[in-house]
Amino acid sequence: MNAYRSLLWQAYGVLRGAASWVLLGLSVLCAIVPLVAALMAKLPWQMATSLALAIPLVIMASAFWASYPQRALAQNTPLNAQLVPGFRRRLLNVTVALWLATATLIAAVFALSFGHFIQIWLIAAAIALYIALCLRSPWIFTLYLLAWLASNTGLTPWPLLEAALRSALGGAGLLVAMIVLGYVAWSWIFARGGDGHWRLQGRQARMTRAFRGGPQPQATKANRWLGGVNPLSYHRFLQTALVQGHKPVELLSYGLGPNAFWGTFYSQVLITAVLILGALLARHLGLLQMLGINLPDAMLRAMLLPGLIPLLTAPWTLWSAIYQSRKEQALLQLLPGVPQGRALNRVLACLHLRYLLRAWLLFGLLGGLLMLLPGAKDDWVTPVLGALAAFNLLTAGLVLGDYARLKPPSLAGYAWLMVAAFVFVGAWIFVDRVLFAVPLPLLCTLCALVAAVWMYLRWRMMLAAPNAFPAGRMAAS
Amino acid sequence: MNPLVIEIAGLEKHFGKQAVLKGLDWQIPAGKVVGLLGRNGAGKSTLMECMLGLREADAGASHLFGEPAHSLGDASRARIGYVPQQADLFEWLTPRQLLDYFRAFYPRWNTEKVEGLFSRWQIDRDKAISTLSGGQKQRLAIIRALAHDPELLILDEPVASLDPVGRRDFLHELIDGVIERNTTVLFSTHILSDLERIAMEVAFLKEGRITLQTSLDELLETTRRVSGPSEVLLQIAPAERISVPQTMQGGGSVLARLSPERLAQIRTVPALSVEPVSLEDLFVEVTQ
Repeated sequence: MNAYRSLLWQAYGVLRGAASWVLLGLSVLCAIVPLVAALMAKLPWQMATSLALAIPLVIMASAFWASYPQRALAQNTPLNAQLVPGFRRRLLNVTVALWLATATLIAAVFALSFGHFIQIWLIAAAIALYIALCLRSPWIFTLYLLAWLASNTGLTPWPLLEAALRSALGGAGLLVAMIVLGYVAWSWIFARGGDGHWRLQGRQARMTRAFRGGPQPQATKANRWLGGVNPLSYHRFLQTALVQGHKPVELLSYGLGPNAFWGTFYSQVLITAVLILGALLARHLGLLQMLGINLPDAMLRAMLLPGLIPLLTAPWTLWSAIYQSRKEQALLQLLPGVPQGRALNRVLACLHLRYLLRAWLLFGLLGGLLMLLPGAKDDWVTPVLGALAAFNLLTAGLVLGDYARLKPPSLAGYAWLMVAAFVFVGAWIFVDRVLFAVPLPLLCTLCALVAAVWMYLRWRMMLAAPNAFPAGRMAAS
Repeated sequence: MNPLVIEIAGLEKHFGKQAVLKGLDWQIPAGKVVGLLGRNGAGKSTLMECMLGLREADAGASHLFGEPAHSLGDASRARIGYVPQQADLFEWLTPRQLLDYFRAFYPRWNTEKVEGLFSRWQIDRDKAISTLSGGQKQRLAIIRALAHDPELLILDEPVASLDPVGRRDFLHELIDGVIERNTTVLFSTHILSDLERIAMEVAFLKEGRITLQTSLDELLETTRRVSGPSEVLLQIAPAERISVPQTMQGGGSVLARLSPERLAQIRTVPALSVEPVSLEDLFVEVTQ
């Protein structure tokens, strides 16, 4: 097999890994929704067909691009890049080709009924590139905040900039510019030797290890600083618990590491609440207006969304933390005072379910308060928040289960949860706004009922499972 | 006879189709220091984990202090110290936090010993464990396991990451601070010189069973390599052989445990030569 075929074969492996049966099923279900809408004469057939093709394609492309750059970066080690003849060049070529193919396919399918091929192509290409850049250097993730601020301050008139670019370069020129920019960016993503590449590889290895169940994030300088200012920091609470002489059962959760600590979840709520209240106050005092920032009520409600992301993936984070601390659990299991067997499973089930439900309630409270602001009923954020809250509740039961048979966490699992959340939100809004106006209390009650039944079933499963510690020991046997 | 601290009967463990432990029986009385030997992948860590109830056995039972390992009471668990093979544990804590955390669980905690070991082994108490070297992490794991003065100490390759000075310090601590207190110690290692210094008994794990367990001194005193023509080697009875006969051109050799009388008898056979063996020779041939 030649090098290009081998690299493409690996990319296919990533796609197969990402394409779980659940994700495929979900994609098909989503594809049916626009067809049903067309049958009910709510959508034109051409648009429905285009959407039915585009939705699974976007879902699969998202899952693929959430995993592929990680895999490609892991292969591009300093040794491979520097010493294996033609390795980096071929990896770069294959990646750029896949990137172009994904963007073109998505743009073509959407353009069938919506037109705007070039704009959709640019957006799809930019998103895939942005994900890869974030994986290469996580600080790039924060750039979206700058873009959001710039678009809201009026200091950078994006529409004018876009219009100027289009008139200067033309549609084809923009495409070519994006391709050149992309090639440069991909060349930067795939480093070639040097100290920077070694540092990058070290960071990648730590991230991959963490994702695959290696040790949890360490007490780096940045983490220690954040721990110092974070009132819900793991270390702060551990110290207090030890000084106050908490019981072994109460101390157990600290043995699973910071990622399984309740403060990790509640911190997100706290930070979001502080940001929103700060923004409200700044708007009330006229500070934002002085800076030229327009902050409508809908935008204030939208500020809840980034804070919801850690909650969306909380079941995955908890499972991952449990798997990551499996070696430590062997020692915890031998400590006097730590419950055994069914009693241990019950303690862990209560602990983790309590974390998630409390965080969910806090978010609900915050969301409820924001709904008191004017215009909540009609803006686009309200149904999104409602759908995400419902999704959180429905997936909370995932934290319960058979820890002894826990499989190593994977990026695909994380991506799947994110994609599932987006699909759920899309379906919720589509059903609610396009197909029929379902009364919100009815939807909420239905979700709460389904979530309760699901949690009860998972609870029973966890209590009947073998001793939870050490996690994952029975996964292979 | 001392009461049994570890009692294993018919232990079986499979990983998929691969059988790691095959009906293993083993007993260790209180106060013994036993070195567990076996080649890589022989199942030493699995045996220790099953013995401690950290893995479910497919068949058989393990008892520690008379209690089933999978449902040990608090009192029994307070009497056990365990150093797993991997020392990179609780890396998000500092050594001080780690020991404070563990102290909260044990009814007995030897602070004086902990402080002494920290000073002697020069471990920074406030540095993140993740930033310690492999050897320092291993020393910390040993301190943690010794801190509550366990009556049963199980060590899974405890000196693998230690330099010669670290190993000497550890053995010194083990002899002075643990073995002299009549603690039962079971440890696995590939560093045979360490084992010769401290083990009373050795046990060889091969093909899922303990194939040989005996006093180390007695084993070294009575085991000889007997070499000679193949037909003459047949004089060594199968019960005396502890290794598979090695054949060479025109002859062969075999390791055999021989009583003084039998040794004297074999020395009278002119075609046979008898040599003493090292523990390394024993390890190589017994585990082959």
